[in-house]
Amino acid sequence: MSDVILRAININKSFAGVHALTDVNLTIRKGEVRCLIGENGCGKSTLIKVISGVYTPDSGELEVAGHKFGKLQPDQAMSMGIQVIYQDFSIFPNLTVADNIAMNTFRVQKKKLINWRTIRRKAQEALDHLDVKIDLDVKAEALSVADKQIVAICRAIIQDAKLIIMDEPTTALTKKEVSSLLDIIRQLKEEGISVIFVTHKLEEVIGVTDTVTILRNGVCVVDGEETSNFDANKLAFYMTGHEIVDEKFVPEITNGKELLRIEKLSLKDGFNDITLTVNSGDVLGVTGLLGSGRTELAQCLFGQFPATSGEIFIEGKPVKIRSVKDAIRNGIGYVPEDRLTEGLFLKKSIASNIFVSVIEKFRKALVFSDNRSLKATADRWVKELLIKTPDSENIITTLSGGNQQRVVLAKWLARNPKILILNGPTVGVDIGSKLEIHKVLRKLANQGIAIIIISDDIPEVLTNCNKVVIMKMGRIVGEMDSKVVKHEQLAGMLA
Amino acid sequence: MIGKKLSRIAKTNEFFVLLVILVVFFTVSAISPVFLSAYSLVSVIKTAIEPIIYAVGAYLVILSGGIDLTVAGIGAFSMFTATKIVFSMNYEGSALLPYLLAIGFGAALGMINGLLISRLKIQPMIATLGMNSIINGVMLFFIGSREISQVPIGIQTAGKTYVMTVYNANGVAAPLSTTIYITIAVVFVVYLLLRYTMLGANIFAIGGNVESAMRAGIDVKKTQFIVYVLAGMLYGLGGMVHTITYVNSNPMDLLGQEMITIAAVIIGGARITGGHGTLTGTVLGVLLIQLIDNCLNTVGIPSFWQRLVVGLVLLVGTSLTSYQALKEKRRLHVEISSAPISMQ
Amino acid sequence: MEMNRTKKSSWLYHIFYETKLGWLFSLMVIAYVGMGFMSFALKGNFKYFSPNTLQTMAGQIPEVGILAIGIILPMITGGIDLSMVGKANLAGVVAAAFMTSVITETTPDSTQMLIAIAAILLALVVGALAGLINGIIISKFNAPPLIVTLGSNYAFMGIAVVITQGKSIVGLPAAFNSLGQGYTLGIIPNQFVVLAIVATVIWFMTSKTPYGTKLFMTGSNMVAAEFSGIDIKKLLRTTYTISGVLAAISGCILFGRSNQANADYGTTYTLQAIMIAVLGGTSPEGGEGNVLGVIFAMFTMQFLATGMNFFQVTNVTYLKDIVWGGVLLIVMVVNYVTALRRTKNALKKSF
Repeated sequence: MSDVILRAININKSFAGVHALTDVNLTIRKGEVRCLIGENGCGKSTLIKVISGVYTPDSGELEVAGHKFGKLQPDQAMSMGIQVIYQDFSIFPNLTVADNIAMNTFRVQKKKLINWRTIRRKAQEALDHLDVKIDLDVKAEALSVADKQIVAICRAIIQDAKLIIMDEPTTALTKKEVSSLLDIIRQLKEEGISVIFVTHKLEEVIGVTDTVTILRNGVCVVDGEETSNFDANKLAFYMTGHEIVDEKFVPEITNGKELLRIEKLSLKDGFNDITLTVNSGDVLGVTGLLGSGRTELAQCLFGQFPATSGEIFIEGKPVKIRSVKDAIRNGIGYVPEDRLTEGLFLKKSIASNIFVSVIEKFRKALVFSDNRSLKATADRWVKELLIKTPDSENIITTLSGGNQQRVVLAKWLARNPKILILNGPTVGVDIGSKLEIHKVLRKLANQGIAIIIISDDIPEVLTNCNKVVIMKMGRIVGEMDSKVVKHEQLAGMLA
Repeated sequence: MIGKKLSRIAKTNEFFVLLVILVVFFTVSAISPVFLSAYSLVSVIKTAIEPIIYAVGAYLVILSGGIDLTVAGIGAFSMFTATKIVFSMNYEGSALLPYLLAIGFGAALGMINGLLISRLKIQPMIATLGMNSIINGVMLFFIGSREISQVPIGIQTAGKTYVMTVYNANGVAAPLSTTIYITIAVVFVVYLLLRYTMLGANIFAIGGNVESAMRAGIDVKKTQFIVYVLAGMLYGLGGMVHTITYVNSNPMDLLGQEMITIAAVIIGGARITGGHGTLTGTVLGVLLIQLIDNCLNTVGIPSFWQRLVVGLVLLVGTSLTSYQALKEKRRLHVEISSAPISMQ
Repeated sequence: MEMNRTKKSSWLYHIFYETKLGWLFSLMVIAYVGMGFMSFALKGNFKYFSPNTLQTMAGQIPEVGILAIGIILPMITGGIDLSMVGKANLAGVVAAAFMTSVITETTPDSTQMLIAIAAILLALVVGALAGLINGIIISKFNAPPLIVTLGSNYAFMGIAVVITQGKSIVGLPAAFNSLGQGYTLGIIPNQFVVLAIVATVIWFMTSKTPYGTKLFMTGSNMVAAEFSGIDIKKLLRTTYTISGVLAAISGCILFGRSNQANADYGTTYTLQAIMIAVLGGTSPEGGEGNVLGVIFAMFTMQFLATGMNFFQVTNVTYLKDIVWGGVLLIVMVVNYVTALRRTKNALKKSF
């Protein structure tokens, strides 16, 4: 018996004539932890779906634990021990932890009746196995992200998983949670369970993964090489196919006037005593882990949660920001974290996604809207930000992630903001577009807008901001010039 | 452990509804002491027998994340058509045949709902809206629109067998029909279904998150289909109970029943988005509405106030729960961020 | 530039093909002609096409028609309003109660006219307030519109019943009744004129004003709308208030036509209005809908209903229920199938 858990041989899959996967080979051994990396649209998710039986490949073969499959059904894949943990964990929010963990075993065994005692016992065993404590009777909707993930892992384990595929598992976790996740992975590995990690942050998982596979445009460019041979630059090169040079941002406006100053700003249970100043032309990076208060600070400045105490000054004048309307009136724009659900109108055209923020501004005869001017405004920004589309009347979903993010930017720029707050501006954007967006931000800063970037992507903050503020437990624990601070130093302060 | 359990129970919606029921009951008793009697109790329970059956059906649908506006349509169609059939064949047997016929019609109509919603992906509200119109039309146009007051003997006897009869001070009787056994059986069976079968678990699952349910290998379409068929059967059964209770089959009787049924389920704590709510809550919701109806009469408020009160209960109820959910959402959000602070 | 010009010159093409309205328009024409010929086949005359029949139809459409236009606004925001009839009846009953308490047998006609106008204004205010209450509960507590309006429908109807004590208010002044019985220029029913005005105003509001643009954007993604600076709470309040005003108009027409006010009138109208709205292309998920489509849909339904009157069968109203429900479901199924095909085609094209 070989110790190969999964072998994918010459997998081809195309959608309507376009190759999503071309002759992809993948071999996973027992207890191996593989890192699967690639830009958006490179075929990562298609590959996962082929392995888990959701898609049938056009050609090629899958071999699971020695059995060959031309066509693998999802339930077959599950019963062969292949478990996928999706980014949203596929949790049922309305069911208890015990149900979420153990109900599926009954389903797989095609049972018609439920034995509650067995469910509780199995669930408790799984939690004990990983040495974590979660109340079995709590509904899953009340759990933290990390606990939800553990529930999902438990569910996979008790279904006799031989291979667990994790889709971007670290995205929403704090540093501490990531390290306990990695501990769990190590434990699984020792027990002979293989793991495929889909991620774009190699540095986080480098300690635990053995090998790496890199996909580019549906082709496997690196196939199962040792992880230790790679560093961030080399990785980026393989992912994009070209060398990426990061130039540090040096503001052109050196003594810009003060645009935003906050003094001793506090939000109950959010953050405490935050004091900072952003001048025209500055790019301020606010970094910190999940739960450090960075997002709350942004949301407070944008009026979603009115501050409990402290003062906000815009261009030196004290202002009250009690609602989103107040924030916008004071010239603040906000690019939210989750582009798809909070930033975009997916059913609408590119143009209307841009002019939505200025609807009130263009009127004819007092009551009617001036649709032509609205469209013209949108077109101007499409041109300005180099959004790639033949016609701004096209629906927004025809754009790539990077271009969509530029549309969200354009929406705010159309309002001429003084201050632009971006929360995770390049999350889920591929490297090429990421650079383009950074370029736009630098240009805007040089035109005099004050920009605040909120991000846990340290390289992004270091190369694009001239000032960096580090938040921890709701407080500012460090403020520094990005010219002098080093990557490792910053990472150390975050933890 | 017990204290924790108790506090958990005290926080549930069902507990709150029960509290309201008790408060209403004792307040009315305080205002008019005659109310505090076995007679009133039986009167309330008596009127709840039929609507509980509808509500259980509607609860299943709402639990699965759907909504069903065919409660009245299927209920009326099933009872009227079944009565008409047994009437025209001069049937002289027991009420069993009309019951089975009504359930069968309910199942068939529920199947059409299920097909439209699960296979053809029409939104439940639209599908059942259209279906209700068609069902009513077919019944009134093809089957008849005149009430059948000379119902077959089996139905008559079934309607006149009582578990017990209580009297008030003036000697007015409140007989409790044996149909209450049907309601108890329905509640019990559905309880077992939801608690101990995979199908029940799947209904909760698809109401909670359809996407996750599909990934877990649940046949979402099949589950949805079964839910609407079951609901249809219950509406049919409820319709027949109506005919038996009133010893009369009038196709117009149930008009508007769908709305009051949904109202009862929601008052009982089910969430319109699916996945949340209990059977106990649903039963309590119906009881509360029936209690209000009864109390108004007792206190001397004309019955036309009933609708206003039910509306207000529903409005206050949803406002409260929605507001709580809103606060909960904010609190949860802050809890994540405050955890490290408290550790400091 | 070239593209712009071809687009502008073919706005008709745009309206009828890209917005699916062409389909609805054809359905309407087919319903009209089809029912006409069917009635000819059955009765041997062309009475269906006579001006008289048209006039009757024009008199019947507005009650539900205005409710349907009123219901699309909340539906575009992704909500629904089940309290349309409740608001209509409450507004109508208040107006009727006001008129019957003020007017005596000796009140001169001219004063009666003024009182009727005041009563109608009062009804509009009541409708607006009722709608505003819905809007406030929905926006402030983030409560599901379906349940809120289900509850408020009971409450509004309840208030109306309490006002009428469960009876009908009869003997409304002629000036008020002319709203539902009179004719403009001697041929067009007054209520039809009201419908035309309402439709035009709402059409302008939804397609030509900032409010309309915001309405559609909010319905398409409420969170994103809030993050783009749209005051969604205010928008929801406004929307439900407008729908309340339209309900009140419909209520006045209804009671004017029947010369009495009864809190229980037209309970089935809400569901009919939703049916017309959905048939007219309003998406129950929000973000889509238009007045023109709803107008085509209400005419289609009316043509079918009137046509069936010529069938010489008893209980023809029930036949109407079957056909209406059937048309709705068929259209939904066809929409589903074409949408399926379109996504398949789009997938092919996009690569």
